[in-house]
Amino acid sequence: MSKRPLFGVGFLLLIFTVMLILSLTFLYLGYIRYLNETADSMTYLVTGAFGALLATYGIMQMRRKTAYLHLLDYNIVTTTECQKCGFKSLRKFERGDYVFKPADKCPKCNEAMMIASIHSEERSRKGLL
Amino acid sequence: MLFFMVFFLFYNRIQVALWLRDIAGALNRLKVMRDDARRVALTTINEIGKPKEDVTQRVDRFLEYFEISPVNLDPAGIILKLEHLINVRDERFKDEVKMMAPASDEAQTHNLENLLEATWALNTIYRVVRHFYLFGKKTMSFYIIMQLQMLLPIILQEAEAFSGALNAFANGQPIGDGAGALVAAKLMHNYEKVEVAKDVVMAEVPLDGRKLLVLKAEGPGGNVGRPGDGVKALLDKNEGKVSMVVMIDAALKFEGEKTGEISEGIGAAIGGEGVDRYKIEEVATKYKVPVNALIIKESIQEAISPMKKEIFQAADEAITRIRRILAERTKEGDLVIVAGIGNTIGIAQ
Repeated sequence: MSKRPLFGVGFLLLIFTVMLILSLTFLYLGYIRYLNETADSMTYLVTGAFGALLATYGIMQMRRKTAYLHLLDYNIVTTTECQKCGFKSLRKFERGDYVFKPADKCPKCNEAMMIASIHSEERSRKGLL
Repeated sequence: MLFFMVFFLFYNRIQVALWLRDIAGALNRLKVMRDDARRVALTTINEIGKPKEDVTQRVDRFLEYFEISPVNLDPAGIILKLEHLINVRDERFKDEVKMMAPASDEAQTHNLENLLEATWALNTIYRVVRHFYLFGKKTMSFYIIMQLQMLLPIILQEAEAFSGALNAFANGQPIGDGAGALVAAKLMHNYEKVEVAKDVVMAEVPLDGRKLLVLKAEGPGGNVGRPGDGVKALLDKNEGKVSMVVMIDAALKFEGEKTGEISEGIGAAIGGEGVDRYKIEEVATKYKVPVNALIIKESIQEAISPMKKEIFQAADEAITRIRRILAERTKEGDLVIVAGIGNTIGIAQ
């Protein structure tokens, strides 16, 4: 038999909100009693403060966290290099590129160039789910 | 006061509800990653492989693939059983990919294999997390739910790493794990290569008066080869008259360490199931050849994501380190085996 969680999220939020209201009421009553120099004012103030802290913590936990997926967007750079004169050229990666693949001719000395490196430059962004 | 007492009594239940909510969110993210991976795999297979029929069902079948590890109650001979299992798996994967993508060449087949393995990994992570989530919810077991919630950051980190690797595998871009293969490729470039083991190439490279036998997996397809067989073949061929073996591999860094940092040590620097490491240790012990290791540090995400600039640049630093090791520990005329370990996707030789 499948058991369901005893408390749903909406119900928990209701409990914490009621708890916060009650705690604030206790704090207010405690303050009034303190002004009137009533003996039990400290009990009201401590209970109110403790309850308010607890309820705030609960609500903070309940806050709907926006589901973000940490997507990494890579900018892949292909560097072609001339073996003879050392001329380098950078371009975006294209499917089929690989390190040491022969590339176009060097615009400076007309020798055959080759792909000397393929590496990524990471750009982090967040994608909303 | 009664209200607070009730709150404390049900605190565990409230905590479980909050954890389940966290897990449900993570599960949703894992599902998105899994579906995205499946979409990328199908698109790439259709683009590259030009299948004659719809491959969706075949891909879905592949994603549910499993393998049963050899029984380890009697561990004697388990390595041979494991090796046999890996060989069968590799052949099976290759056949599956060939049937899905008949128009792909050798390198593309390897890349598609890698892509499907990453998709399979994401599907498996999703299924396992879903299993424990539903099981925890069903039994309301505090400890199952707590453990799963606490492991979530590590699970999500690994899943995001696989997710980031998809495009690299689909397009054949070098990945961080290929750092060792890149070092070997830089050393052996412009020298004649011969195949010394399945998917492993070797070149004789003169360096600083020594003769290096440099080996790596055959690229540029996504391939790790059988470096264990390669090292064994070279040591046997030279009857153990080798001054040392130097292995270069990418290794996981600790938090706080810099990507691309290099560390030196001893032992067979190679991951995987352990078959290759076993073979290298066996043959090195047989001929009493010292095995030196160089590792290039990177995170798990960096290992299977497109190769970062820092890792690419670390390859040159690794070559400098190799030259220093050769100068300090070998004499001119010595024979040294240099093995570049890792996935050679996007790296030729």
